[in-house]
Amino acid sequence: MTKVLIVDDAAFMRMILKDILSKAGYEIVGEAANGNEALDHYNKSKPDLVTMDITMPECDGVTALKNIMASNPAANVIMCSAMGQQAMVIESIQAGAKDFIVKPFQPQRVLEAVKKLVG
Amino acid sequence: MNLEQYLGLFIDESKENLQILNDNLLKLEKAPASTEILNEIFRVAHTFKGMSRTMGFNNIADLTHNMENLLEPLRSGKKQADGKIVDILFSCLDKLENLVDSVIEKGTENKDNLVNELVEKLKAVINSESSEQSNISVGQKMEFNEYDRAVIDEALSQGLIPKEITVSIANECVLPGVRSYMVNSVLENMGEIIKYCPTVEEIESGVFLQTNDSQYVIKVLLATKEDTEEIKNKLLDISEIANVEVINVSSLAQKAENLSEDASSKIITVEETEANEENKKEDGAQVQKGISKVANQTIRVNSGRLDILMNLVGELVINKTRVFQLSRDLANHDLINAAGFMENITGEIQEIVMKLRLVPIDQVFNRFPRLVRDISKSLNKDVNLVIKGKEIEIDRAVIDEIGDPLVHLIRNSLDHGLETPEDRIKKDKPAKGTIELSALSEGDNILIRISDDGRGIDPEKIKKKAIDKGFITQETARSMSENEIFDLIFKAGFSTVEVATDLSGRGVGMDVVKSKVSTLGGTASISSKVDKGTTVTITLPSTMAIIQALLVKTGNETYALPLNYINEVIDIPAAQVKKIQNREVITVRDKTIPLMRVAELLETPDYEEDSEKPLTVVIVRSHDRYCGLSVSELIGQQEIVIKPINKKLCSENFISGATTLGNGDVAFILNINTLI
Repeated sequence: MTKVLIVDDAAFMRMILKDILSKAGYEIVGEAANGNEALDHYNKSKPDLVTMDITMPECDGVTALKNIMASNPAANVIMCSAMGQQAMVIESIQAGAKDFIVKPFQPQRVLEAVKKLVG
Repeated sequence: MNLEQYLGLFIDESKENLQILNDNLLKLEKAPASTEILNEIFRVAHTFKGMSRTMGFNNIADLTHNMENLLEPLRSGKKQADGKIVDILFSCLDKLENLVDSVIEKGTENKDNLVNELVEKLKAVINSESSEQSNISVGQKMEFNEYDRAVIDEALSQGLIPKEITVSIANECVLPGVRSYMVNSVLENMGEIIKYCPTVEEIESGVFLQTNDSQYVIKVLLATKEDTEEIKNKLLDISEIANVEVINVSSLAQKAENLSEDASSKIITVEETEANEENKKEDGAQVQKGISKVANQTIRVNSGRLDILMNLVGELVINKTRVFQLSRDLANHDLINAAGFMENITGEIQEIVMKLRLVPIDQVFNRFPRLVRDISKSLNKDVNLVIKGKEIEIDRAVIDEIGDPLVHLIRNSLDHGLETPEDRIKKDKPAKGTIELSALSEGDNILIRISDDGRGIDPEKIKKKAIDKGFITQETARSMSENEIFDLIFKAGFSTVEVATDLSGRGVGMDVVKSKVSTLGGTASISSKVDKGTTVTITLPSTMAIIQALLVKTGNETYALPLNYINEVIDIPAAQVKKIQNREVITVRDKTIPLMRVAELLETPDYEEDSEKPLTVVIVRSHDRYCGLSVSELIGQQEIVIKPINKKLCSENFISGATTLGNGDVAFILNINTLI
């Protein structure tokens, strides 16, 4: 089963994503509430895919993405952004994020993005 | 997507965020330039926006979106937060609270015109400052200058084929600019990009070509060796790309025609405000990291489940007692050991479960800085609110209930306790009044104190009022202690509007405060000195549900007395019971205290008085008042689980609950507070 790590500071958002993904048959191997936790989890659970929120306390998503890419250049990371974070999203794509999804999440759109990456 | 299931979580997090917002707005008022605070406020608004859009609460989303816009120039230091802005942010907070409340009540947000008003206000403030936004005008056609032509020629000479690629990005795409960027990244690797239409800068600021079907169209002229199909596939691999067309451009002339012929193409501008502001936002967001507090390592548990766990542990405690008893009866050494071990573990489980229900009292206290700010502003009083012991933990059940009484008491202190600054100066007091709200733990109890350094209460005035109202006679008034007099304030019907003005207003609804505290198993008392101030003390049990109790027998009934009220137990010869004013009293160590016979009080069946036998008297104490309860026999000390009992079943409120004993019998728990 494809393993997914969900990173978002809002438990609410994590739950939404978790539901969408687990209903579609993905295995959620971890959740992280900030970028530092995300890196720890990433190294621990070696997920096939990470969904990464951009605005988070302590260590934001872009920094976390860069850290993850540094530890595994082949990492599959999808950024989660709210409307109006264009520059941040572009920076993430430059840094190696494979795709992005925008809140509010459309289940179909989320799954489309995930499928494109990890099948 | 069924969103119902997320509602609880949405509400929980919203409440937390509202609290953070509240705290930081209060801080912002004192430090309007702090980027740290502004960032935190911004982050909360941002989180709110994301969550509420997902839930479809568009009022909240609109409001928070505009809050972000207002905060942006503050965060970047272009503008300083002034009183007006803080006030607007506060009214946004109020509106958000309001909207979240309606979500809590009805599951949907209120349709509210005030939101629009607020949004307009916000926009007005934003626009007054940042009018430098300008639309980017875009030429309709792709034109080729000398340089472009040179590049195309160069490409052709190298054997590259110029291809015109038209990419339509899905209309529902929220950030088409990023998709264009991704298109660009793909194409860059496949050849040389000669020209974009619109230009990169225009795309970044949200300007796209538009056709009948598609809002976001970009055209790229690429010199490449790659196969047309390959280009198509690579581009369609990007999410949200609706359509890709690739046309080989054999000659420059044809090329120019193709791009300019597209008559239906017109340029539109998308969300230019938003797009431009993004860039600034992002800069700020970077600064944000490392500022927010470390998130607690916690998990959320439905409180209903905790209650079930609590109940089960209660049952476990009861059965443990029973096993222990049985093992003693059987006098099997191994069994006693095993039972003893089980008892220890059960004890630990119980302790943990009790702790699970404890939450810091800050959850109640944290709303008061705002309350005090608002009230003192409206009363034109200068107040310093001191909060102490907010880390003290108290049962969740208490937290939910104690808020309103405290609000009431603080309001009283502010409104009637503290004098106006002028009056205070006349009395040689500092113009700024102080209200202290403190919590401290004392044994198994939590004490909450609300003190002010205001005008205080004159006991003589209370006495007079109580006599006028017929609560007490002249005679009793004379023998009353100060404590007893202040206690009159808690009496229902004591306070009226005119009393309120006479007596610094204390007493308005104080009976409600008292009764609320009583139902929580606590007590309330007042002490006051004229011109020095007034202190209201509320004593509450720190944990609920499981208590240590003394079991006593009267007739055939077993009753439980909460241990923390019991002072001592004595045997007293029946002859030593005296009567004063037709009430029975006993003298214990030179102190005369009233005696109550539990059997008579509760009309216990099958009770026979043996006048020869000395009386077994349990001396109970509540708030410095003593009372002796005479019972037939003591059974022993035991932990009991309080099970609520229908209030209608217990006359006069002498019973506060019931419990199941080890042998399966039911025992009533006496409510010492009402007995005394």
